[in-house]
Amino acid sequence: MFKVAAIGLAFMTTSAAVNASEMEVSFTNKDMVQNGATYSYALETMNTINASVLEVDIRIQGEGDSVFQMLPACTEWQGSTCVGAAKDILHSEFLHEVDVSVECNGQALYQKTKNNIEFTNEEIVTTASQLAFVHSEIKLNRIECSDLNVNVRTVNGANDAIITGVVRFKDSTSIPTFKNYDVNL
Amino acid sequence: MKKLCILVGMIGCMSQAYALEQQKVVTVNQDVITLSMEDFQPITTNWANREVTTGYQALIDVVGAESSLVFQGKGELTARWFASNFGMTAKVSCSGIPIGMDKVYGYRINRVSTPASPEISELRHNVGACTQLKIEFNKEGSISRQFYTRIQDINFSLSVKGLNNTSGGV
Repeated sequence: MFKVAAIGLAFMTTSAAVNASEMEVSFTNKDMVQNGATYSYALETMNTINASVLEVDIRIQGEGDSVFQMLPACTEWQGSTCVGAAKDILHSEFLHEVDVSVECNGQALYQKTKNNIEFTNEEIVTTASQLAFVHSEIKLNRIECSDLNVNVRTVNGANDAIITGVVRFKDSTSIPTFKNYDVNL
Repeated sequence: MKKLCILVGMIGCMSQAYALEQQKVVTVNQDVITLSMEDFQPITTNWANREVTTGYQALIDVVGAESSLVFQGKGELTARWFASNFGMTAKVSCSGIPIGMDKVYGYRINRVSTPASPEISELRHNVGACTQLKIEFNKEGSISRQFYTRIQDINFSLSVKGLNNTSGGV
């Protein structure tokens, strides 16, 4: 009788752990707290996340910094010495750069900086920019945590952003949300 | 002995001048050229009585430029293991004309270093005067950060193509 009860309890525990392990969180910038150029999303889960697959799909629409000016440029170099004629040439530079981090219990699970960048002799007519952080990986060391934090920080560009994001903690790669998975510790 | 030192010095100067003259050449619609660490000259500055390498640059002669050109470049920059978390801006211009830029990062996670991988793929118009490409890799961050960012290898491949104006017309 005791044996049966013990097996039953173990099953329940395992069952509870499996139910608690997988989690999908969707959010937008409206669900996040903005502090200057940083948007933060914090979630304290009811149950501990216990998963080995992490999927991140965070998309950001923002505005980059742009400069457009006529600049004198050297037309020929020899080493670090200008030996050619100086010529006024149109220069445009554009940069929109965003840093995204996903942390759980203060431990970084994913961190990436991406940018849209331009250096051209044409005028850049729009400063609108979109960046996508799409990542999927299998963690050989299982993820076990409960406090999830997602931070989206604009490094270069306007502070305000439109953000849509999904973070998934899974224990399977069978559902075809992603085709390929990195494998990391 | 003195004569020998002078001779060695002269040979050194001559080889430096020879190196400056031996610039690589890319011919439009023909070659993909591959540049390695040896093809880049360090860009240096002085900080706290030390010479700091803040970046690297290479000069490439361009033969056969047309008014519109497609520039494609791709490569990797590897830092020493202790400096693997670094940022780098790649900038390409041709005879002073802006061509393209990329800002990339090298990472070290779980004792594995991932190189920074700059990539440029751009169509540029009004570049008929393009005769010399200048490729610059500039380290990001403060001057002390740049000092400790020790780049150990550079690989960068580059091609320049003209637009084929005779096909695809309706």
